[in-house]
Amino acid sequence: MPEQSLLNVENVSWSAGDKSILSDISFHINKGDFVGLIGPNGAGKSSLMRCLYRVNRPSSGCIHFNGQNIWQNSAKQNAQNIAVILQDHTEQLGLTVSEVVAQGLTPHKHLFEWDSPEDQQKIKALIEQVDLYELRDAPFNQLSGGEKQRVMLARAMLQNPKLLIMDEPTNHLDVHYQVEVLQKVKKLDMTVLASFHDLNLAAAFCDSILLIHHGKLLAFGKPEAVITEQNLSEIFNTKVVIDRHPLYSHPRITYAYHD
Amino acid sequence: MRVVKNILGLSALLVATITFAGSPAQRVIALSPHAVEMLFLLGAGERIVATTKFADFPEQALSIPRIGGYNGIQIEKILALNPDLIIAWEDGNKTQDIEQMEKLGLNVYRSQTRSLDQIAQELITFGEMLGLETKGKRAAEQFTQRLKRIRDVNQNKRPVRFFYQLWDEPLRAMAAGSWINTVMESCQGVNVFDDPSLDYPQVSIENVLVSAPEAFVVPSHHGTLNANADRWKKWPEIPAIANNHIYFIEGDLLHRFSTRILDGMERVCLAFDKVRAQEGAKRVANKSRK
Amino acid sequence: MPTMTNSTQNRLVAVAGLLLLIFSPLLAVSFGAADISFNDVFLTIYGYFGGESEVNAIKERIVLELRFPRVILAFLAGAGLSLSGAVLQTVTRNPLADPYLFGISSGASFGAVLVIASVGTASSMLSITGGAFLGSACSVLLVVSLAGMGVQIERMLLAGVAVQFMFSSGTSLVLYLSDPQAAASLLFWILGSFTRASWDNLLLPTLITTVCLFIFMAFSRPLRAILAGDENAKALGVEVYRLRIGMLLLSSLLTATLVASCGGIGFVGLMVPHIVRRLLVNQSRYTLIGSAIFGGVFMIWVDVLARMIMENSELPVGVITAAMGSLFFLLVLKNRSSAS
Repeated sequence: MPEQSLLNVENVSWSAGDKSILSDISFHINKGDFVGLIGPNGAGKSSLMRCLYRVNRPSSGCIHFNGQNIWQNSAKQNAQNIAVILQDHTEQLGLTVSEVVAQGLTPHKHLFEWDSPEDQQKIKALIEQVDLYELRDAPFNQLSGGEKQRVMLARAMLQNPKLLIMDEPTNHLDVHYQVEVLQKVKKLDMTVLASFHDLNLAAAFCDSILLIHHGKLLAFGKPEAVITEQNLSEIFNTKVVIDRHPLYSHPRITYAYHD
Repeated sequence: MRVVKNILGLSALLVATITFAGSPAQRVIALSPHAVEMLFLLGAGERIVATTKFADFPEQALSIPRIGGYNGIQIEKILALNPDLIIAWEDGNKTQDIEQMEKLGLNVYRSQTRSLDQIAQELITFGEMLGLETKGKRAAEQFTQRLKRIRDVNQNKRPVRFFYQLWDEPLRAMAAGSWINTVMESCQGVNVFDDPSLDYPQVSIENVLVSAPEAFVVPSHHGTLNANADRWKKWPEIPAIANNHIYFIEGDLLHRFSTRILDGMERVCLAFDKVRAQEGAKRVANKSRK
Repeated sequence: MPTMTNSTQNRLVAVAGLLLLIFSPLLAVSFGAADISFNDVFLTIYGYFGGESEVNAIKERIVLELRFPRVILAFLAGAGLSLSGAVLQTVTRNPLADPYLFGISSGASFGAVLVIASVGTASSMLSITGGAFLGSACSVLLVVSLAGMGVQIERMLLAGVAVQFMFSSGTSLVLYLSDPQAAASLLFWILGSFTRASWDNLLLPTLITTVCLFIFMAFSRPLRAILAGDENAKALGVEVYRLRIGMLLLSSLLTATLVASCGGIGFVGLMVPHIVRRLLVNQSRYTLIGSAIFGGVFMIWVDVLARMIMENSELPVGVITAAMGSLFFLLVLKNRSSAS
C-alpha cells in the first residue's frame, strides 16, 4: 500500500438485508487522479460510492482516507475531506441558488458561526465561475438539469474537499454541458471519483477506471487496460470496436448497432 | 230533569276523563335526575324501572338500574324493559335518542326545563300521567305557594350584585341568559354578567374585577368544592373578597330542575341577607361615629 | 406599481418586525375589560421604576399583575409554537408539519382529562398540568418508537397521526365514562387561553422557550442542510438521524411546556413559518428567528382580540387561531390554483 494514496479501499463488502451487493472490493486512489467508475446498471456503482461517503456501512473491510479510517472520524471531518455531487436533486424547500451553494460551508462552520463577508465573496465568485450569476437569487427548483448540476459543482467547490465524488454527473445534461462540466472538474485541483454511463466520456477524462460487475471489481487501471473489447462485450453484452480517438490518445468505443 | 242532566253530565265527564287520561303509567323510565326526584315526591318512586346516571336523590333512587347518562342512553335496554311511559328531557337527552324512541312508538313525554314556573306545571302533568292527579296538584300548589312566599318576602329588599362562579378552570360564569339566574333574581340578586344573550360565558379575573360584585355564589359539584379560593384572595379590591362574602351552595340545589330548587333559593336569599346585614351594620357604625 | 426588490422588501420586513416587537406588548397591555388607556400603562411602568404616578391602585394592579404576565405568556406561546413549527417543517421537509404533529396536544388533553377523571374536581392545577405534560411526553415517545430506528420522515408523520387519533379517542372514552364536569375543564386543553397567566407561572415557559430558541438558532446551518435531502445532508457532514431526533424531542419539549401552560392552540405553528417565508424572500437563514418574532407578536394581538371581541367575557384563543388558519389555507389554495 503506497503511502501517497489518498483513498484506500480494502476488501469492502456490503449487503442490503440478505442480498449481497458488494463483495471484496479493493482499490486505491492517488492524489490528483481522476478516476472513473463504470459498470452495468445494478452493478453496485452507487452502493460503492455510498460506502465512501458513509451512507452505507460496509459489513466487512475498511476504508482509509489519508491513512485514517473514515469511520473513526466524525461525519463533519469526513465532509471536510470528501464532497459529493448526487444524481437526484431533492426538492429544496424554496432555497435559492445562492443558498444552496452556501450549504457548502456546512462542514467547515461551528454551531454558532455565521457566514463572514469573505464567505459571501467566495460564494459570489464561485457562482460566477459556473456562469450562473444572473440566476443567483432564482429558486433552485426552477433551474434546468444542467444548471442545477453547475450549482452543485459550485457548492462542492465551496466545500473545498480533497476528494470529489460524483454520481453519474453527466446524466441529465446536453452534450455541450457534459463536456463543459467534466472539463471544469478536470481543471480543479481535486481528486475525483465519478461514475459514468457513457464509456467514451470515461475514457476521455479519466486517468484510471474501475470496472464493476455484480458487486465485484473486475478491472482497475488505465483506460486502455480496462476498456477492452473482451471486457465490454462480456460485461455489457454488446459488440464493440475499440480504437484510438482521432484527436487524442485515449480509447474510443464504437458500438455495433446492427446485426 | 235536573237529575238526568247531572247524571248525563257526570257520565260525559267520566268518559272524557277516562278517554283523555288513559290508564295511569305503571312502568316509568325517567331520563333525568329531576324527573326522578319529582316522581318520588309524588309517591311514585317504585314505578321507576330505570333511570340515568346522577339520579341520586332521594337515597332510594340510587338503587334504580341505570341505562345511560349525558352521553347517550341504551335504547335497546329501554325496549327490553317494556315501559309504558318515558319521561325524557329536551335539554339533557340527545335529540336523536328522543326521536328514535318516539319513532319506535314508545310513549315519550318531553320534559322542558326553561323557567321556574314550569316546575309546577310538570308536577301536575306527571300527576295526570301517573293517575295521581290530586297529589300532583297538591305538590304543584305547595311549590307555587312557597315560591310566591319567598318572592314576596324578598321583593323590596335592596338588590345585591353577585358573581356566580360556575367553574374555575377555565373561569366560567353563569350569566343573565341562563334560567338559573331567575333563582337569583327571586332573591333580588343582580348578576354582574347581565347580558341576556350569554348563558355560560368564559370570563377573566379582570372581567370580575371590573364588575365589582358584592357576593360570590359558588356551586359545589357533587360534594366537592371547586373554588380555587387562593387565586381570589389576591384581589381584595373586589368587594365580595374584601368582605368575605363567598357562599358555597350545593350545586344540585341550584342546577337541578326539581322542587329542591327552592331550598337552593332560600340559601341564596340567606346569603344575600348576610351581605345586606353587613352593609347595614357598616352604615350604622359610620353613623354612630359622626 | 413597481414591485420592490427582494432586499428592499426584506429590509422593510425586518424594520417592521422590530417595531412591532418593541411596541406591541406595551400597546396590547392597554386593552382589556377595564378602561385603561395607553397613558395609564405608561405611567404605571414609570411608577413601577420609582417615578411619580397618579394612576389609581387597582388599575396599576390590573396592568402589572394581570395584563403584563398575560401579554408575555401570549408572546412566548406564539414564538415557541411558531419556532417549533418552523423547525419541524425543516427537519421533516414537510411544509404541513406542525407542533401537534406528534400527538402532543391530544396527549396533553388525555393526560389532563385522566387526572380530572380519577382525582375528581378537587384536583389541583399543578397535578392536571403534570398529567398534561406526562401525556405529551408519552405521545412523543410513542411516535419516536413507532417511527423506528431510521426515523424516516414518512413513518414519523404516519406514526404522529396514529398517535393523535389514539389519544383523541382515549380522551373521548374517558369523558364518556366520567363526570360531565370533566368536559368543562377539557375545553381549556383543546381551545387554549392565557387567562391563567401570572408572574409565578411564567418562569418555566420563559426559560424553556429561550433555551430552545438558542439551541435551534445554533443548529440553523445543519438544519438547512437537511432541506437538501438526507443523503445530501450526510454528505455535508450532518448527523441527520441524530439531529432529527434531537430537534423533534426539543420541539416536543417546547410544545408540551406551552400546552401545559396555555392549553392547545392550533394553526399558529403551521401558519406563521409559511407567512414568514413569504415575507422574507430568499432568507432561509432568518426563518427561525423571524418565525419566533412574528409568531410572538401575532399571538399578542390574537389574545387582545380574544379578550376584546365580546363585551365582558372571553373567547378561547384557539377558536380565533382556528378561524384564521382556515382562512389562511383557503388563500393558499387560491394562490396555488391561480398560479397554475
